[in-house]
Amino acid sequence: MALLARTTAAGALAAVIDAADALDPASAREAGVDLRLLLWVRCGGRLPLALRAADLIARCPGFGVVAVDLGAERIGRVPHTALVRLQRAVETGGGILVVRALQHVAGSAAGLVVSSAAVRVSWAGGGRPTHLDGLICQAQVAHARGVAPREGARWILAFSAPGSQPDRPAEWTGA
Amino acid sequence: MRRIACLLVHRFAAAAIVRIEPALAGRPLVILGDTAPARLVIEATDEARAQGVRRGMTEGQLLAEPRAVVCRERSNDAEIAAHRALLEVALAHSPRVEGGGPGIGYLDVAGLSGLFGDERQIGARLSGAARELGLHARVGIAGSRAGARLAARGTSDLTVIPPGGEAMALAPAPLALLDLPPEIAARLARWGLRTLGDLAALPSPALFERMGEEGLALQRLARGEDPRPLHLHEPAAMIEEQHELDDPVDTLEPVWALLVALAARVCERLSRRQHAADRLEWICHLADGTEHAGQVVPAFPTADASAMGILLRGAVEARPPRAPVAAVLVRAWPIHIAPGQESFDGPLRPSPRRLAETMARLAALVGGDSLGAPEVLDTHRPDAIRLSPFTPLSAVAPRSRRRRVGRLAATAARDDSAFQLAGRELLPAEPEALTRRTASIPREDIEMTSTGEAREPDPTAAGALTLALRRFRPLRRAAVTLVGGRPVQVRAEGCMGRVVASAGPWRSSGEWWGESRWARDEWDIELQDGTICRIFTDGRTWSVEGIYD
Repeated sequence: MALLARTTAAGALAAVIDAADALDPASAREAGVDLRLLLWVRCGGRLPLALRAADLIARCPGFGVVAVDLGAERIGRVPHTALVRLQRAVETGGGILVVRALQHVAGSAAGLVVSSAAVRVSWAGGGRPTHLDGLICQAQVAHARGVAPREGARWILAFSAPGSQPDRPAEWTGA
Repeated sequence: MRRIACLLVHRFAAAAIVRIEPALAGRPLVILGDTAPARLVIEATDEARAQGVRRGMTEGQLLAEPRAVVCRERSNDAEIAAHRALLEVALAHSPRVEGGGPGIGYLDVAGLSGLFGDERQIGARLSGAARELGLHARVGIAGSRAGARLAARGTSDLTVIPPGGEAMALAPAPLALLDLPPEIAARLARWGLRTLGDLAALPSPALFERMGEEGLALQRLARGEDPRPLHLHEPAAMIEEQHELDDPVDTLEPVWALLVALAARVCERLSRRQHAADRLEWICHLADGTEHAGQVVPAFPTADASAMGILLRGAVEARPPRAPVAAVLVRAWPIHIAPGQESFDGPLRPSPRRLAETMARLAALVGGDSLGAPEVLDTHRPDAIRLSPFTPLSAVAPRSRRRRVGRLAATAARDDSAFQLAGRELLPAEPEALTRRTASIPREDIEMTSTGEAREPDPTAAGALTLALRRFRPLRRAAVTLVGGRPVQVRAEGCMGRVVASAGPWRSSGEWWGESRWARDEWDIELQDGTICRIFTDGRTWSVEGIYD
């Protein structure tokens, strides 16, 4: 989401190919994404359709980022030929293609593979939490084409929950 | 000084048919009128006339002898479209235009020499422009409408009569050019008049005594005199092209080809007006008497025939007609596009044509209602969104606005991000220690530096990474066990386990004044396996709205 926000903040176009139909535009807006510059392609759970849509967009020069979200659940084998096609399309198109999945699906077609895992969830309010405060994750380079990553190299990242739950109604009453 | 040009399409009914069926150009074409009781030949090309076809023949007479001719019925729609196209040619050169009947257009060319050259160059330009729209128009230029029309009816494609020379230039022309009623033509023939010059030379009082005002009017025409001002033509707000098929077709290929051809002609007319279209309507008249219609909306107003053709093809492919197609119509509303230019240092954007093509293909692939720019509606109802047309070229993000963006993205967005990220001197992190350190600054993002230290970010440089909700559409029903009013166990597809932490309920409601009222209690929960979900109840059932990602 941060990548989309940065891309659109610079005035470039971004596309989300949403295989699972899971994008929350309110969260995207909260993260700073300019929704006017975001093309959202809803594929309704149809993975082959998502790959074909990604191929079409990747071949249209001018999109800064093309994000393919394959969903939050494990998926079957993705045809390697489709991924190589995507790789070729992106290389000629000049943009960045990001595939997000629960497992590593891109194989050797990926230039960079980053895995991430939650480390700790942060709640505000002590022993009786009042609201979700954030999530601390660990990211690790699993594969980088042409470069051998150092063993154990990783990043720690903290995600904050949407500030004061801004997507919730102003007049809600916490019980 | 008055100077009028006349654009005249010879054998207009046939020319209008050839315009929509270019393959008929140069072939012996016969146009039949739908007159009762017998259909008559109303027009025939030179090639057909060479085989003995004459105007006024019945269809029976035509078919009585073996002739290699192509017959077509007269098409009013084709003639209307061709006539409008002819007037658009005139309008592209002068604002003072008059429609002079089927296949005839007048325009005031006085003062145009500064733009287009002398009158011969103007005439050649008009003729060329008409040819680009599929019409072979003869051009006559004179000091009056009548003079220009009679000049255009000559054998040459371009005739320019110098100012004041109308009577002399028209004198050798035959009287038949005036399209006289048969009885008047016979009367003048009995008087021995053969040419316009003969009629022009008659003494006016004597002609008035014999023929009255009508005789004087004919004489003025023969001299090329026509002082009436132009009756200015108001161009139609829309541009449309239509084609009726001889027989209904039930396969898509010919319909595609026809739509693309019609779109090309519409775009040519748009370009001629220096306009573009932000939508294109298409209507298929089906053999069962119904209509199958739709419209395509390019990402950017355009007059690009290729892009429009691809859009139309995609639209029809996504929603094919349910019955054989008898006629096809394509219609566009022209809009003026102010010339503009992207900023010099702005980001690369897709070309309007490529973007329109891509959007059309995507629409054919996933459906037109499944893609667009997301828009959050101005309501508190959860997941109240809609997809609006993706028109990024009209939405320019202010460059000065500072966004809250994570650093990982900032690094990864660089072209050489893969190597930079992989090649950095990163030390093994200690998650537990870092977790302890960062717990006090949960709203800031934390970055590992090259020394392995977690540092507080500069809040002015880049903002925090924010959690995003990954929604389940449709919602997933859940079985939730409550203890003391708090969820302790959740069972739902993809979201199951003991609750180790929870916050809520966040109670909200809205639209209580209507039938779509809603109310809910939300909880954010953390499951034993680390999944963070948002669940809610509407008072009757529990659902999982999504997971934080």
